[in-house]
Formats: sequence, C-alpha cells, structure tokens
Amino acid sequence: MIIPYEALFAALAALGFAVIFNVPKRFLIFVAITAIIGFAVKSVLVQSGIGVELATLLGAIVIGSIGKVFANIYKEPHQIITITSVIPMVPGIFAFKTIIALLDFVSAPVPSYELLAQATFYAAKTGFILAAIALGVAAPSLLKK
Amino acid sequence: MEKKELSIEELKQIADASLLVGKTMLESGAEICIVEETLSRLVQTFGCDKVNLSVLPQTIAMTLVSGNEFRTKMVHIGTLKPDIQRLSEIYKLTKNVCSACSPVDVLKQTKALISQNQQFTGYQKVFAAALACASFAALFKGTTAEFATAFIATFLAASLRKTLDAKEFNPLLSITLASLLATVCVGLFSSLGVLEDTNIALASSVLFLVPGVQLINTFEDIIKGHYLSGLARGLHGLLISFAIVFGIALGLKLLGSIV
Repeated sequence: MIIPYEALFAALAALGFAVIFNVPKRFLIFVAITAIIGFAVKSVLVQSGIGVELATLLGAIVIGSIGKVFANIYKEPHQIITITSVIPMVPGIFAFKTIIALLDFVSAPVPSYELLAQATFYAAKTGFILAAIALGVAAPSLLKK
Repeated sequence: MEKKELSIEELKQIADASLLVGKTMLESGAEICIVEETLSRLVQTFGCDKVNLSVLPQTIAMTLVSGNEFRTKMVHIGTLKPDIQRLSEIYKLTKNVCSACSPVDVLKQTKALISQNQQFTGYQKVFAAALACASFAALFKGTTAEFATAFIATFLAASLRKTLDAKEFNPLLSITLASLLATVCVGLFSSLGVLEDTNIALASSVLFLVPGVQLINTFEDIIKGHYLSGLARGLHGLLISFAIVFGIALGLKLLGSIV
C-alpha cells in the first residue's frame, strides 16, 4: 500500500511545480488530489509486482482520464491538472544514474563495457518511463480523432 | 442568409488577433493540435470561408480566405515559458468569441491578458521549486538531511536561475550554471558527512530544471501526427537535458578537486 507520507510528498512535489507553472490557485487542490491518485496507482501496481514502466503508464492514464473529465466539466484545457500531476512519477533517480554512468564511462582510462551497459540500461528505463508518462496523459484525448 | 464577403482590412484584423492568440498559447505551453483547433474555430467564427494553417514551435503561418479575397501572415514564436493561468484565460477568451465579436476587441483582450501580473511572485516560485525538489528527495526514500540539503541546494540554484533569466542570459547557460551550483552545494553538504546517500540529494535538486512540458508535448505532438513540431520540441528538451548534465559534470569535477 502507498504510505501516507509518500502521498503527502507526491502532492507537495506536484503543488511545487503547479506554482512554478502558474496553475490558477483555485485548481491547486485538484492538482494535489490527482497527483496522489496517480502516484498511488503507480505505487500499488509496482508493489504488486508489475514493472515500473507499465505501472507508470497506468498511473498516467488515470491522471489523463481525470484531466479529461475535469476539462469537460470546467471547460478548461486538461493541461491545467495533468502536466503537474504527473511530475511525481518523473524518473529522476534513473536519469541521474544514467548521467553518472555516462560520466564514469567517458572519464575511464579504458572503455568499460559494464559502465556502458549500465548507462544504456538506465537511459532505456528513463526513456520508457518518460514515454509512458506522455502516452498515458495523452491516451484519453487520443480516443477520438 | 448569404455569407458576407470580408474585406482585406477585416481579414488583416482577424489575422492579427488570431496570430497573437496562437503565439500566446504556444509560448504558454499549449500543444500544437490545441492551437490549431482554437485558431481554426476562431477565424471561422469571424466569418472566414477557409483557413490554411501551419503551426510549428517557432512560427505560425496562416492564410485566411473569404470569397475572392485572401490574406497570408506569419508570426515568430518566442521562448516557451509554461504559464497555465494564461493558457486557461486565453482558452476561455476564445471559447466566448461569437460572430458578433470584433477581432479588434479580441486583440485588445489578448494584449490585456499578456500584460496581467503573475499570480505568484518570483520568490514564491523559487520556494515552491525548493519544496518540490525536497519532496522528491523524500519520495526517493531520502533522510531528513537529504530533504533539507535538496531544499537548500534547489533554493540557491533556482534563485540563481531567476536572476540570470531576469538579466536575459542565454537560457541554456543559466540552466548549466544553476545545475552546477546545485551540484556544488550538495557536494559541500556531503563533505560535512551529513548525507547518507549523496545521489538522492543531487538527483532531486536539479529536477526543477527538467523540461517536463517540452517532453510531454513532444510525445503528444508526435502521437497526433505533428512529427516536425514534436521532433523540434524534443530536440530543445534534449538540449536542456544536456545543459543540466554539463552543469552536474562540471560540479562533480570541481568537487573532485576541492573535497
């Protein structure tokens, strides 16, 4: 299960970016709730053994669907809540590990295939998770042409 | 009722108003297809028979047709500064435009929206960035020390970026310097021996620089068939990511010779 403090920090991360992107104040509460729901879906699926990429895709689809419903009710663009609500799912650690592995690889005196494999592995994971986030958010609006 | 043919002057007013709307939307972080839909709807509400549109991340070009008259105009798009409040206001403005509305009024209202003050001050945004990145440190299972370090490093880096942006420095340079400052700051805390896992604080403190809107819009544009726009935005996002990496690499090199 998602731990309450994780939900709190997921909401804080989304709210922080909502302020940076100037989301209207009246919608900040929607951003926080949507971020918690999306992050909870992803966390529960990861804990139940599903890969982090698929779990992220499903979490992002939930956020995209909430955004679509929100857009229809409030007659606003769905980005108001979707863009910042997916922020807690950004694969920061994987991206950072890619950078470190690449830096180690290029600064090594001789080519190390182990470092290259590590960098490729983390880069692929980062790329797939980012693609899953974008595809998940866009999925509900792709149902119709 | 027969449709009235628009004069060249009326077409000019419609082009001016709709291009400013499109430019503002793109600069605020809208996807290409939303801008296309909005502009097509807008010019048809004003009575144009046909519109040919080309929306790219750097330019919008449109040809408006009414009877035998036509007018072509293009506009350059400035730097992307995600602003959801402005996007929402512009979206509402265009939804409320009716056939009785004048394009001159739409132009005035759009200009008024652009000149509106932001609802959050610069330092509120810096504080929000610090809190968001510190929350990431907690989500990555960091300790209180890593949370606090990420908060301080991000606060300093975001303040530097805000200052450099205000002085109109090259955005890539300001991102590199902000990333460098965050790395050095985390490195100094690490040298004090307060951090269990330096990587958590380091990874969290540069996350506010990640081009999230560009990356999400890249995939959305490509999926919806706007390949050129998607690739252009993706390339820009990649350049920003390289600037972050370059800052981290410089910082680690510098720390290697200090610590």
